[in-house]
Amino acid sequence: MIFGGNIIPKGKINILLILLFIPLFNTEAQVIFPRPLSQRLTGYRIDAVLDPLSKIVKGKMEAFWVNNSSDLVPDVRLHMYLNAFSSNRTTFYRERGGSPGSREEDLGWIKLNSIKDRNGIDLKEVAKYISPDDGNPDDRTVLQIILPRPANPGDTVYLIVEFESKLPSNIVRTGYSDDFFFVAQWFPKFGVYEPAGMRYAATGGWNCHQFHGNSEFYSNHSVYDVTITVPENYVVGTGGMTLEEKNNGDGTKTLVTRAEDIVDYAWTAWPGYAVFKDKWNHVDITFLTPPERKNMVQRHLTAVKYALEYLTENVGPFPWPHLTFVDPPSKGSGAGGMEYTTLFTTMSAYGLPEYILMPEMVTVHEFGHAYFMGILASNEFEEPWLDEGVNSYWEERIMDHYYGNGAGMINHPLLKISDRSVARVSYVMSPSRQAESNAQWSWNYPHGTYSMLSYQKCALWLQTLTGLVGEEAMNEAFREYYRQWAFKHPSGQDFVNVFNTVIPKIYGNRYGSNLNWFFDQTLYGTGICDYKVVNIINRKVRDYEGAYFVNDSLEVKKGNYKDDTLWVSTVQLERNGELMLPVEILIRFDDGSETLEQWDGRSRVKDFTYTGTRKIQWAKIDPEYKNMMDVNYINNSMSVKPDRKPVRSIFSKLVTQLMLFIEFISL
Amino acid sequence: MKILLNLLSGLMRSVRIWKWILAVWLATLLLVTLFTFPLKTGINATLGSSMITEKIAAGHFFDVIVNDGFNLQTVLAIFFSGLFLVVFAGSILNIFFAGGLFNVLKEDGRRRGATDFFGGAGSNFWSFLVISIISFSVIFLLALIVAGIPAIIAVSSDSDLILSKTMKIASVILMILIPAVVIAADYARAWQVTSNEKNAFRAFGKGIKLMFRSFFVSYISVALILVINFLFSFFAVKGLLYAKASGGGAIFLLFLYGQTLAIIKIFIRSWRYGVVTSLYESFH
Repeated sequence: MIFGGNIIPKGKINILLILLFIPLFNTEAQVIFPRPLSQRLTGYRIDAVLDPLSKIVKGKMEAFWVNNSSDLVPDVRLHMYLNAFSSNRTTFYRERGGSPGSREEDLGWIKLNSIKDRNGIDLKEVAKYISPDDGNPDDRTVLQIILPRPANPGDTVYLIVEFESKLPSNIVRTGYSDDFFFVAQWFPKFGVYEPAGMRYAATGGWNCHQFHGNSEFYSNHSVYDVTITVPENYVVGTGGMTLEEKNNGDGTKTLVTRAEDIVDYAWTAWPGYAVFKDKWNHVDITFLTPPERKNMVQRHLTAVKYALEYLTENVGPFPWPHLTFVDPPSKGSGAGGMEYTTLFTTMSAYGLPEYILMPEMVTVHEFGHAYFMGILASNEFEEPWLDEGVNSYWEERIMDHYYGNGAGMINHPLLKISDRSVARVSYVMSPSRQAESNAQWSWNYPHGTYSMLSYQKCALWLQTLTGLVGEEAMNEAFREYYRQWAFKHPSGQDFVNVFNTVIPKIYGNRYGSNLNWFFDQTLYGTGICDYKVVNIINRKVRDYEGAYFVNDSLEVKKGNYKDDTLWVSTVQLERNGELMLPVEILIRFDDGSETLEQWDGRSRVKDFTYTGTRKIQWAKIDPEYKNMMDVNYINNSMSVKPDRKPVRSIFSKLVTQLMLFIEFISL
Repeated sequence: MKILLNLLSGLMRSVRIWKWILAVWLATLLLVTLFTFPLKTGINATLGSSMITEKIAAGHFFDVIVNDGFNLQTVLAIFFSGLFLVVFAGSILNIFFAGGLFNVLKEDGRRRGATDFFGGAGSNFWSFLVISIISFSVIFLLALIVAGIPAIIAVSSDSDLILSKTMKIASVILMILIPAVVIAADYARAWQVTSNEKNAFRAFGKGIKLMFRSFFVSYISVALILVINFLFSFFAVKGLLYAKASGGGAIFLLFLYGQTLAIIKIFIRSWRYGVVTSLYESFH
């Protein structure tokens, strides 16, 4: 075990832990959970003081990391993310473009005043900034501390840090605006040490990426004991459970908070917040919002309770007894739509009509991250689809389940847009939808495809998979994913493996011995899906007409068409895209009967032919629109008598509306 | 009483020129159809024999327009450029016909026919165009001063509520001010059709002067018609949007209903012209 470089034999760890750590960390004292939910390889105790004038948070931190591997680890690495806002040359701004600003008050940075071990030995000399991803010398978002002696397996590295975090004025998740503060990525935070065999690691090493333009985070589940001191008129929301709030008698107050088994700790402070409380089963919900948006409060609270209910039922329990979420004021809108497990930010606007379900959608989405990377702590840098895409999939399901199938985004009598449709729009409309597969690191997605690929495309193929195997099978797979990987770090392959186990267990060989054929095409592939009805042919079987021979003499028979009643009807299908997915085809005949055909979707062409007294009236591939990956629904169906009335109706209205509008603006 | 008499006089004058109201309607319908008919044909061709139209009927437009086969960008480009052109051309057409309407609304004891309508439209077109530009410029400036600047200030405030309240107050002030601009423009045009001098700026000056000659009566009369016009437009648009017609006959009936609304809308405008013309004639 290392206390700032002094290695103590492993055998004596337990006694020393009890003697030395407990006064500093309450990891063993279970304040929230009776026993740890995670391994708690890292822990933080931070005393933070916000100075609203200088926009600086001064912090004193005691933190530890346990070497849970069998490796001899020579260093520790820490995220120093606020430095992403220190200049326009950081990797964050190089990738995003632009600048954090030119004035001193615009910039964001984190400064280490001291780093010491438990014995007070200064580690500043052995600390240096590194850029493991791109070698950018101007990026100071990853700090490496070479340990005086490597950490042995089972050792604990212990740091005492004094730091100052200056918040940036241009809020990108974190920052300030006037007297509004959203304090995230604000303290030195350990990366994740991945021993060989964990996720994709061939050899042990730190997984501690720089802060990129398109990337989120990756951390261990930790215990946080955080005290926050702010001016007494400030309302504070945190990711922890508030244990005590005391007035210091000097115009400030201090909140004592604790969070267990979360991957990040963030907080917000603003004098203008109105606080609303609610409860769902064991969860105390706190909602902070600008007071003028009180008409939105019930909408947000209802949405978060829906999400709690749905995810608990279909994925797994939400273990924390506390949950805080925030609707930042307009001036702090850059902090909106972000997740820190037990604290998340949503967004809305004053007077937003009820049929626009955007606030609910954001609340559901950001809450969902409590599962998809909060509990199931995947690496957001390297596999963004595993949190954003999977979470978007659940967001769509929740929205459509509770707010009306097909109307989970806009639910107006004149216009209905499902949450799923919005995802499909992004994918179908993107000119770069085939530029890259989902299996890419977040900042390497080309041509601005990060959002479309990691969020929407993934959600679409998960919806498509749901269409194939059914909702309950998906739920069962996710429940198993939760059982196996909650409070651990699953990889994409782990996710696939769970599906490859669960789905064959439910269906046997119906979808093959595993689902690799599906994931190879959708998750790891770049092909598009497009099935098409090419033609419907109804041909009468005619009475014989033509030549025939009787005793070597040629006779010609004229057909008697009047009695012909049989039809040979064919529907011709094609696969235009590269993706090969099984599809259903619904065929309606002129006598009102219907037949549902199955096609494995593998061949380029497929015909279904029927002989009888009935003709084909229409044919629909994927009649329930379950295949969300299909980029062209228009060619999925064909009718011998296409219905033009809906278009006529629209244009009839358009003509009149245009005339009324011209008349309205005429003086 | 004077207000009521003027409203009645304007109404009767408008009823008398029903043929010209229908002419304005027909011209507008033709213009709009020139834009919408090819667009409809194009969309029908795009959708081909597909049954995706059932999604349109269910209100799920997104699932129709966002498909590889729809070519949304092209359709939107055509739609918005066409929309701009048709609205622009429609506005010019109405400025042209306003000259005709004002000319035939006069009551000087003689029967007015096509020569008066088209003659009045043609001879006053440029002047009416400039009067319209002046009027819209004034309305734009008023909106900028009353709503724009306070909105910019309110945006930087802490509260969304301040912006919302600012906009509501600004809207009310604008609603009070706009009728005054409309009255000035109407008087200007009523004066213009009786004057041999085709000078829009002078006409607008006259309009302002005439407005203040009988401000209360003019303001109340015109404001009343503008309110009726606004309410009618609101309910007409809403009713049309929500109207559902699935059968062929029902769609045709819906079209007839819509066109009736369009005619009534032109009639209300003509009524306002008639009221101002009546007031103008009462000054002489």
